[in-house]
Amino acid sequence: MSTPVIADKNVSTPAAQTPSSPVRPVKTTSKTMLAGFDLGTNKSCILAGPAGSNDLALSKVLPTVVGYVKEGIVDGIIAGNATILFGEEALNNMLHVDLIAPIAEGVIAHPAATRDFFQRIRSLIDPTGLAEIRIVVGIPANTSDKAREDIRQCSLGIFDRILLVPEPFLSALGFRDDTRIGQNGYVDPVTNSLFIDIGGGTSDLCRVQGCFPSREDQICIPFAGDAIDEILHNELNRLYPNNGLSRHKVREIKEAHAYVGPVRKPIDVRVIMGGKAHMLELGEALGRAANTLIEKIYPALTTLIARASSDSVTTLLQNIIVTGGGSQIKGIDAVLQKRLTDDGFESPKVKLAGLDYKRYVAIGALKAARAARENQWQYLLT
Amino acid sequence: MTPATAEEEFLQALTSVRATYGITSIDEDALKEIVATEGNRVADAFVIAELIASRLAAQQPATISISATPKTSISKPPPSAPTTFPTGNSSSPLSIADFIDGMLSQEKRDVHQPAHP
Repeated sequence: MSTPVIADKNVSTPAAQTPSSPVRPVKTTSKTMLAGFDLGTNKSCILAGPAGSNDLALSKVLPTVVGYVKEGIVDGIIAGNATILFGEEALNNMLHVDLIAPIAEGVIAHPAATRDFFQRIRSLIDPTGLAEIRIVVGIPANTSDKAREDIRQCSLGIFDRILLVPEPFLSALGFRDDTRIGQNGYVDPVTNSLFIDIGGGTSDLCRVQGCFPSREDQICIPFAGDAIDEILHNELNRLYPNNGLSRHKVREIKEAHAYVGPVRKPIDVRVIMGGKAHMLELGEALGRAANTLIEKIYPALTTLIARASSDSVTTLLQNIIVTGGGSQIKGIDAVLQKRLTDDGFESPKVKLAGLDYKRYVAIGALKAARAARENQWQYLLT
Repeated sequence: MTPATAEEEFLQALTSVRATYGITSIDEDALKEIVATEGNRVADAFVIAELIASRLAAQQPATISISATPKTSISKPPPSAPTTFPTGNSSSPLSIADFIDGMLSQEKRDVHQPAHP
């Protein structure tokens, strides 16, 4: 059986951008693995387990990044002398690799790197390489046909069967408490709720009301965590020229301190610049950057609310849930709720998905994988 | 203990340690690593609980009311009036496979419509 591409010294380099060869070992077992895959712009989450079982063989969150080891790196610097690194390992060795982000704004930007990333995912799901892999992949709301086809093309020879499902709907499935369905007082989120999934590349809003959401029930905004990073980076460069802070460091600052609403000062952040520690006051910059997200999301939110029927809208307003990395922005629930109240909407309630937001899409995807009928799985045709 | 209270207590504890032993007494990177590791452990436990909950629910008789595992990390919706919004089906729980059927039907209908890139 061929080993995955990561151990192959003759793998393509980012400059060449040649597609990596699919590794298709001969399957000698009838084992099937089901997987739920949240393919995020910045972070991905994969959950997997054997078909016909509730066992969980894999639960992993990893940065969506591929690192191709640079030419001339001395043997032993990279563990196992690997030529491709993934996720945290790639980031930890960023000085020695060319980092590639396969996904941009929720869609595939680098097909070769995406295939390598998918190979890695496959090897995590099934280290033997012998199992049939059926995978449900989360995609942004209203993804184009071309973007969907790009995912299928990158999956050829790697996964065996596939289903592409919008992420906010999977969030609703993942957030759903199966033990409480039918209980008094419990509102099933797939019955009547509005999910706001704020990721790295896109912010996806989706109304789920008892049936699979149509295009009109979903809005995808190509403005999310990465866009906030860029605004914050520009603000930092304006306030503190020559600060030398990387985009990665700026993202760390954002994840630790971002907030929305009225300006909060002072917010002092300790950074190392030129080898020396400095305290930067970033209250206004952080608020200005994150508040732009509210200005993008709020119109889409009110648009979806306006499309709801009068019978359903009151309950819908009570079940607005913010998930994804953006749900960690301090005050985002309160600010959205206040804006809705101030605009006259009836008793809105905006809630946060909680600290487990990273896994809801993948949980929903795995639930979908376990529930899918045989004839619903799509083949990947060469 | 609510998540907000837990976070406040954590921050107060950090402030107290720094005030007592100095601002450099806690290594930021080590702290971040610990928080991330523990966060992952809690999240993994939550995922496992979520996935076996349905199995446990299926094993219980229908008349027994199953108290949900408390999810202290999630702000659950407050009890609200039962929705009168018609689901179009019986009162039985919505089937995920039916949702998938709906999605696949939509894909066939939308194949010629312009989509958001």
